[in-house]
Amino acid sequence: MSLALEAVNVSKRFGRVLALNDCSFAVPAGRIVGLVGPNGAGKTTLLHIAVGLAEPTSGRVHVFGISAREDVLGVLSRVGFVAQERPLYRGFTVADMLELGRRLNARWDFAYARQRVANAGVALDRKIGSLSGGERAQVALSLALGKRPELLLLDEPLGGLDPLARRSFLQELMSTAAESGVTVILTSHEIAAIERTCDYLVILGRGRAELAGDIDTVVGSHVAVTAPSRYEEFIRTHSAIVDTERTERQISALVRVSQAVDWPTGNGLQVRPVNLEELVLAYLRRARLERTTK
Amino acid sequence: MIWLTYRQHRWEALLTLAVIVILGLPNLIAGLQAPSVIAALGIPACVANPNFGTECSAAFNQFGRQFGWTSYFSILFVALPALVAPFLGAPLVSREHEFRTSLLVWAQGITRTRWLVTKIVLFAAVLAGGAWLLAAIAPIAAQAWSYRPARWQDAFEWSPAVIVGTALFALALGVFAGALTRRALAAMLIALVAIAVARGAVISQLRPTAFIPPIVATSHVGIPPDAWVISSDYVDANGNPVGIDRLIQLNNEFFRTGSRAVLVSSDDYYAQNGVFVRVKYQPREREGQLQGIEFTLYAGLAVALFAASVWLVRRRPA
Repeated sequence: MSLALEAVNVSKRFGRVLALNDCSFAVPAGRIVGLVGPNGAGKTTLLHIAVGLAEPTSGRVHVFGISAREDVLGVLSRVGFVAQERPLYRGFTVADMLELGRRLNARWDFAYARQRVANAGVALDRKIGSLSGGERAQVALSLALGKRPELLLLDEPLGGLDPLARRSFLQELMSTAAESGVTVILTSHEIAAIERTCDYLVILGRGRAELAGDIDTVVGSHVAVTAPSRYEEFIRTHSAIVDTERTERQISALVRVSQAVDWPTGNGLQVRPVNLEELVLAYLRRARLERTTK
Repeated sequence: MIWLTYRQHRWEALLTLAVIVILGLPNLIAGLQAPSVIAALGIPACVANPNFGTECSAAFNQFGRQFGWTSYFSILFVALPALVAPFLGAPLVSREHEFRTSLLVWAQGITRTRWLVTKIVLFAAVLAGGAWLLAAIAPIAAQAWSYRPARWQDAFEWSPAVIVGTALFALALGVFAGALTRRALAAMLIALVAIAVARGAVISQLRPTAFIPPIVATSHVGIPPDAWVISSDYVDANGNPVGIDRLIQLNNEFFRTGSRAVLVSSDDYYAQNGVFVRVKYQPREREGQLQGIEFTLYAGLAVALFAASVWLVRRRPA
């Protein structure tokens, strides 16, 4: 299994704020990865470090084994990156933007980029400033894909898009990934969209990877347990509690189980599978609690 | 990268050249006409004769009516490079940050160093060309600014060395301020204030006395008529300045005693009484040397600021 991206003990300090704190995780090639986390968890910083737009304070991020710190052009030639709010030059036409891609990249598939823009129904002679949010997103994506990257990094690609534009953007993205085999890492707050699109999940909280893994496996290894309080000890010894809610007599916990547990169901203890949203929220809540209690 | 620079900044380049042409052209035409008008009005004879009559006053007035407006343009020739450059330089890096396009262009397949160096080189080349054009027409335009031929120390200000040097230095200041603040407006203000302070220091301090120490003469006799006299005062035998009261007293004595008949000038009378004139001046032979030093200073500072900008852009996160 080759790795598309690997973060190794990455820390990034902005003045007093530690945006990333000894963050480590790996993303296998060929996956569509959802990178989630609360605002300020370090998602953007991590992507920026990966493509050399920022330098880590310590540690490193490897893209196909190369670190931007050592060989930024080596990384950039293999990675397409679309920043948050998908910046483009407002005064340029769509054709100008694609020309920019051609001029600034050693490897550039002009026909492919042009075809993508045409498929999205965007005329080449239109000014960027006159495009709708969805059209801008398509142009930015085409620009990133024009270099035929092996890894595509998308920072909040759904931000500012209406539901229809979101849907067509994600469909476009999925069919592109299926066609070309490009690894995609996207950050988003839309867990439903991630559930539909991604097959790999990385949860970032407190500047650290809380969880990383295949979505089906990850979801399958977590359960929600509701039980009378006296079972708390049992739950603790047989699973790892991610998040709990207690009332006087009851405990509800989202737990991670490493092997099959023989739950003593029937005595008021209930176990049910969790969905992705519950899972992500549990991890995010834990991250926030630990931050506030620290 | 050359294509991108052109595509992004072609209007700025065009506007810069348009400003130079629009502001330069009327003055250039006036400057071309001025010598024949001066000759036709008989002004050279008037200038040569200190005790000119009313017909000369009329000629001077006529010249003023015809060409007086160009004196406003003369300010532009000196101020334009210092003004244009921050407007071009300050947004160069800062606007990319403001519009977040730094995250777009620096994630393509070229290094930030190459991105910035290419832009700087192209901007500097075009700006230097424009400034040189301005400097080339300045001496012709200057013929309309005054009916007297410009003295070399005045023409110094619109020499190619100073105009081109100032333009490059101001551009570098703008770029550096933009890379530092990442705000176009703040960078522009900083660059404008800095260029004003720097130019002021060069004109009032460095150029007259610091580049090359001026020659100090103890008499007005022997100073070449085309010398640039920087200062002239009176000192005692120990080199200390003499108070105005003492000078007035000596001057009164000089006239009262009728010494004027015997001595060439009051300076001689002062010298007899232990008060010596001290004149600091730069001879004309130093014109080229002074310009060379000033250009080297501006260009050197510009290169240092450009280098610092590249360093900032490389070091700081996008």
